[in-house]
Amino acid sequence: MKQIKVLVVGEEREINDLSGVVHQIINKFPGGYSDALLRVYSENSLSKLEKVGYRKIYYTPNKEGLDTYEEVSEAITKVYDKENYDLIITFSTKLYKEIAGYVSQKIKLPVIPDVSSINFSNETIVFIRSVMAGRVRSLEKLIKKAFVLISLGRSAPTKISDTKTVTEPIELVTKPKIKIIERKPKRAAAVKLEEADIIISVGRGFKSEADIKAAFELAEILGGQVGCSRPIAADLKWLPEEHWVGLSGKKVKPKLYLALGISGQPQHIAGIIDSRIVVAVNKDPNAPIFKNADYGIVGDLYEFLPIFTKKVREILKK
Amino acid sequence: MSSIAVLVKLAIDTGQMRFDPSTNKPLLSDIPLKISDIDRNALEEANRLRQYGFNKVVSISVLTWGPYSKRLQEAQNLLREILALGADEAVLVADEKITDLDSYYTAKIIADVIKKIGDVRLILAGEATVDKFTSQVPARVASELDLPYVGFARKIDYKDGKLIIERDLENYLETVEVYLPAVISVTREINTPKLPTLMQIRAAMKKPLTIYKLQDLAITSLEQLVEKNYEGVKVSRKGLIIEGKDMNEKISKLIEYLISEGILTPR
Repeated sequence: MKQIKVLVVGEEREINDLSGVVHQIINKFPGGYSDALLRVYSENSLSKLEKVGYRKIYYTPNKEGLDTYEEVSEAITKVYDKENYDLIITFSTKLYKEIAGYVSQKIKLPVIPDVSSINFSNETIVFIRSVMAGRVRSLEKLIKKAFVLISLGRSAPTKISDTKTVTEPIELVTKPKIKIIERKPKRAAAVKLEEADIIISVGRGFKSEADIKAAFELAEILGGQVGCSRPIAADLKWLPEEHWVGLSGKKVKPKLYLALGISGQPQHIAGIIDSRIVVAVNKDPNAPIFKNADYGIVGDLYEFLPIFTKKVREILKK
Repeated sequence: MSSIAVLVKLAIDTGQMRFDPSTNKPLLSDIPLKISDIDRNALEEANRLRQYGFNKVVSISVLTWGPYSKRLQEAQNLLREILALGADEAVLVADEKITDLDSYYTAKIIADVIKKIGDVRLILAGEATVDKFTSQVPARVASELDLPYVGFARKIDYKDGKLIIERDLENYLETVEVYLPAVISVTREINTPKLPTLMQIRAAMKKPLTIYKLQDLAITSLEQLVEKNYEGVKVSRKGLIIEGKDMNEKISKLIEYLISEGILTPR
């Protein structure tokens, strides 16, 4: 590939946070450039982004924010038609998955979502994502063009001094068919499971909501957090979704993952693959969690928890 | 007269992964298929919504995981299961030429089937499939058919020809309104799929099951848009079951292990 043209789509923060990874891509194939499409416009955002090294920033002056996939899709299509980009890049969120699918069908692009790392060869780029509930790594090599959704964390913007950013307004004509009636922000997450060193995770083996308290007590002694399996968060709603570990919940990477009364469905295992040590306690000796654990205890968690908590207290003198 | 189409993926059963020991590649043509979990919720929701003037529920599946000759019977068995779960008719697109299809073409194929059915007013699908989890096909089908799309619905109400949908994005819940025809993807929270009764399983044997090949549709060529290579993720867990005469002894052993692993540090 001789050179590469990239379009980044996002809000100010997203465009800023993606600039590092985008410049890494551009620099591998000299001669290319990156533009950005600012999804939520303000003069302030626009002037901040002029310092991050994009060649051109497109924005929609007659709209504060492009809220729906319809508006964003129209904006992307308009800009794409001008420059014929090789890559469109944004973060891997539900809204962008929706936008990517909708727009890519119109302009015949493949979409590579949930990209966790990027490899370069002389010729092209390989985007790596996890499939099959975390059991398989899919290495997806760019053939011509793609819409790529990144799930790496932010990468620090690299300073590029010799590029002068220009801005260009675009006009939209779409009348959205979807009417947004209400938007309720979710309560800000109080726990950050992705960053926890120790996770005590609760599953269907717990018989009542009140019993989960014992897991919180143990987590506190160990300086950890409490996680849970899908039924606890999604069906029973004993814990808010921010505790949910798994494919549709959080992907965690603690030093210790202690699974209490969790059977170990593939979707759950997918979320704990990066844990260093997994310990499982379950009454059922055939529970799949044991195959995915380093240490297993076949037994009743109601018997396990008080004894284990007591011994940990003694050891840590807490 | 109008129908609901439910998109049902015959997905790789990720609970039964197997790998070639020498190459570490997944043995994708040997691993059983299953109905993708969240598509069961879509089917259940279709059954619930049929009361609002829909006269039938048609499931649409594309056999994207070949090989065709080996998988065809397996796919038909899964289609019977879909019919037992309440679909009135099942459509399968299967062809020797289809293998690990890009969602761009899957959407084109599905859109063609929907046009063939003719009277589809509502298209439902799971928010993602358990094997690839890309969430691409429903959005692409909407785009291909120029229909409005609402993804990640966890509640659907029907009122005067329009749907009022509560959808779940990472940072907020959104309530939106959309007129039919439309494409909706649902999350697992939307309902609890029922298991089929014996009567339903029997009835499923008599329901229509249609198989199309590519030549029956307007699709003439398939190309690869991305080159994919799969490799197994090696997770080496010790898998040690701690034995002991009672819980007390097992826990003492566990604690020793945790100390030697550097996770617990006695003070």
